[in-house]
Amino acid sequence: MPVLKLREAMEYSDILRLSTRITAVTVKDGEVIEAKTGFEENLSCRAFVNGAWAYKTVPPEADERVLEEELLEEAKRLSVRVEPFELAAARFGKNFTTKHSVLPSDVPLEKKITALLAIDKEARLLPVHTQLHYVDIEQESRLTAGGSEVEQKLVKCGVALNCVAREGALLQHMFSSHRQSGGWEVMEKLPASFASDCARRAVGLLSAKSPPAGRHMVVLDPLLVGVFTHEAVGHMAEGDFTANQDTVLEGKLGQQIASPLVTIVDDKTIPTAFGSFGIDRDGTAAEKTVLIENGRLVGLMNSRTSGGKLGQRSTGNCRGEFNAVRMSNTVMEPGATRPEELIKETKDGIYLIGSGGGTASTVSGLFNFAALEGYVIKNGELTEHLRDVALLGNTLETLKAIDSVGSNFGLGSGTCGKSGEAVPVGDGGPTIRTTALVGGTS
Amino acid sequence: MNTDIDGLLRQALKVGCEEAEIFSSETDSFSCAAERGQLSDTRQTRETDNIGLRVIHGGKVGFAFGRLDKFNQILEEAIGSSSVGQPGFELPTPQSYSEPKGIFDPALLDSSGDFVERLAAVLDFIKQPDVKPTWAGVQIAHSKYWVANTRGLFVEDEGTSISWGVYVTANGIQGWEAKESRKNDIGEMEVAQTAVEMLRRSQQPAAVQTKTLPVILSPRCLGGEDGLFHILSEAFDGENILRKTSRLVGSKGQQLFSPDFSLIDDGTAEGGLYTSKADTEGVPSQRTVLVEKGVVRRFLTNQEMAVRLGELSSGNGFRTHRGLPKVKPTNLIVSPGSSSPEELMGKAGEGVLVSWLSGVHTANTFSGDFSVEAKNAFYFRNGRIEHPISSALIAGNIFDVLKEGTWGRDAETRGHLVTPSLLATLQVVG
Repeated sequence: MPVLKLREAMEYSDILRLSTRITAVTVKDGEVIEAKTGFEENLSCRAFVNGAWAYKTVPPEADERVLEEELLEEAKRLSVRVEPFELAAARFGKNFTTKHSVLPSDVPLEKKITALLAIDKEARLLPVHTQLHYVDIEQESRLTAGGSEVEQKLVKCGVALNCVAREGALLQHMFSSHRQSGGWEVMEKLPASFASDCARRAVGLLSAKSPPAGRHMVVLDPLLVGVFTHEAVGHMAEGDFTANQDTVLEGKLGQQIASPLVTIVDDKTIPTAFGSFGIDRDGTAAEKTVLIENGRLVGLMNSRTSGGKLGQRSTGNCRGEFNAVRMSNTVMEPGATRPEELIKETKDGIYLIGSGGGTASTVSGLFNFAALEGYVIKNGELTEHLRDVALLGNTLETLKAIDSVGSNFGLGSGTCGKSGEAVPVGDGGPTIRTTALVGGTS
Repeated sequence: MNTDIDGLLRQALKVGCEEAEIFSSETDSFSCAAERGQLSDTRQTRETDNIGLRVIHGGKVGFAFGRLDKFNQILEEAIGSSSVGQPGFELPTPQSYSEPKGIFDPALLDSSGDFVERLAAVLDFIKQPDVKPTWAGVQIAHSKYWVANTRGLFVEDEGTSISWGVYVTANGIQGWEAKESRKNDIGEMEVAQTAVEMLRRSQQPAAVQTKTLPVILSPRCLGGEDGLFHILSEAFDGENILRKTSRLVGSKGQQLFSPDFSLIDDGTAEGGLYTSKADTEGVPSQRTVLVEKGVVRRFLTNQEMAVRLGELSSGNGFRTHRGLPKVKPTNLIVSPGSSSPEELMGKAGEGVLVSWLSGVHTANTFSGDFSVEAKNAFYFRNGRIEHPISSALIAGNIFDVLKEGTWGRDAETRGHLVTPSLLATLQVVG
């Protein structure tokens, strides 16, 4: 195990050598639109002096030592104009490789294409247009800091499918994805009904109705809970947002901010989850970080920088090329109520399924999500089918209003963009019930 | 250019490719950021010698990307992927090109120290008792690309850009402004002033009732990352036309929109953020009329979609070295109307003025339906602003909006779009 002795918390520099191998395939309506492989390599250097950071990314041939010295100078120049702070203590992790059975680069492209065309064909047994995106990534990195080094190899693989159903001028779409940490075996474990379910649901939306606008009791499925947990709660709990701007969580550490039924964690260590890794950009070891425990805000996600500014420890959430605090797999932990019971106990409400994306403001604490589909709940029964459902709410009010948490659990995958970089993330949870504003679009 | 590009292309032909094309891009960028009113970091990125290689082998398209020094490996992988690629494609041929105007400013090539000082001055300016600075920054970039193919096409072009952004908060309310230009001509103090004014005007908000109302959408609601025209540019994308996943299929020549609405994609506009000599396949930039007085005229294509639709490419094939060219707009220009934003308010009487939107990427790009959050919005009556609005969704359909909307005479560049404000009737959910 590499032991890193950092000279200091006031002056620090590191070098990250990153190489990435990607295969990506796009199939649309049975045609292979794009099938490509690619290789990227670069060198990324960071230097920190008395509270100022300097970053530089260059082609791989560059001289590491010259680069490091140049950046230390640059950081020193900037440091005379900034308020100094110390980096949070280093907690260097061990070398890490994603567990995998079959390395994607060992699988011939033809075999991948055959599998993808079969998925596409399965979806088009119903009258839908398809867009199927497959990607596998093998990323190797070597981080050198203070004379020590640590290596990581991440392997990720999976597909995302969009089905579009059409009737006259009416177009409706459905989305489903299956992306995990791991090799080609991820594809071999694709659920048999993956494509047919997506197509069937797209066609089903053609006869669905717009939702009744207004404040409703809402039941959210695990994938929508995942998006709420990531977008609305997770981003507010990112230490760099907290250190650098007003967030509605400011000053609330240790306080009850959610229903006691709610526990939310950021877990980098779930073996197959899409957002997992072994060490972060600072070299900090991956961990399971508890953010909200039985409704109480107990922690934030930090890098060494944001932790240093806030006087907190690093939780290993420094991801990407530079310094941003990023989530890994952000999930709400399951509760005690069977999901069928949860719906049965709901007299009047709306059941919302799947995520069509969304945004949340850490400053105002408001969120806005689209569900893929929904149902009106009347006397515990799912009745009218709904489409184009938007959900708007205040995150803290919504967290407090959660009155039932299911015993089930589902995990989704996505990519999260921040500071111009996208990283793979996981999000999920159980089925839950709360109150929010529902919007229609017609 | 030291690379023997012709030699590489010849090598591709020698190993059995019928055609080959190399695309390469190069970027140098510098940025400086401030957090909570304090300078925090500088960032430099230099990317060179990355290439994307497209080949036609056995009548089918193959593609791979990587570092130029590993050309042999890239070539082998591109040929490998052609076994599953598309047939019936042909690369563009050389054409005559005009020099683009106003997209290169030598003043942006090297003055990083100066920009740190200017950002520091912005921080001094926003140090005001009722304002909390959150983020401010400047980014300058110098980008070059070249594309060459075995039909004798070779095009290279370069441009510069600069952007300034200022974000401030107070009492859980945000104000922000971000501006981008090809030249060093953005007044960063004006950017800061706009952010601060938006913040002050939005204080002490009140709720608005759920009802159908006239809504004035500022240029920021239409262009930029969270702009509603994102939905429209998908609809004009030749690929969506080909696959019949656009609502505009079969609408050429039809009066689908208001006679007051005209839209042009102009890759030649002087100083345009997306102006260039050619697209990234080497097809000359052009001015394409998409909508003329409400009548749909043309769609946007890259070389592949043009070949498949039996047209000529509109010069809208854009990519990084990592992939095949996709159809993307250049500068989308909306013809202005005759009213100022104040006159639009007077015309509407009662309604809502929205500064920007959040959540547009959740909109249904196929149907055009949207339900998004109205940000820094204001309720007005008798043509005068009464109060800021705490939170509201606005909902409607972009195709319907463009049937009836009234355009202002103001014009701003927001991302790909150059547009005035738009007055339309929408559902406001308070």
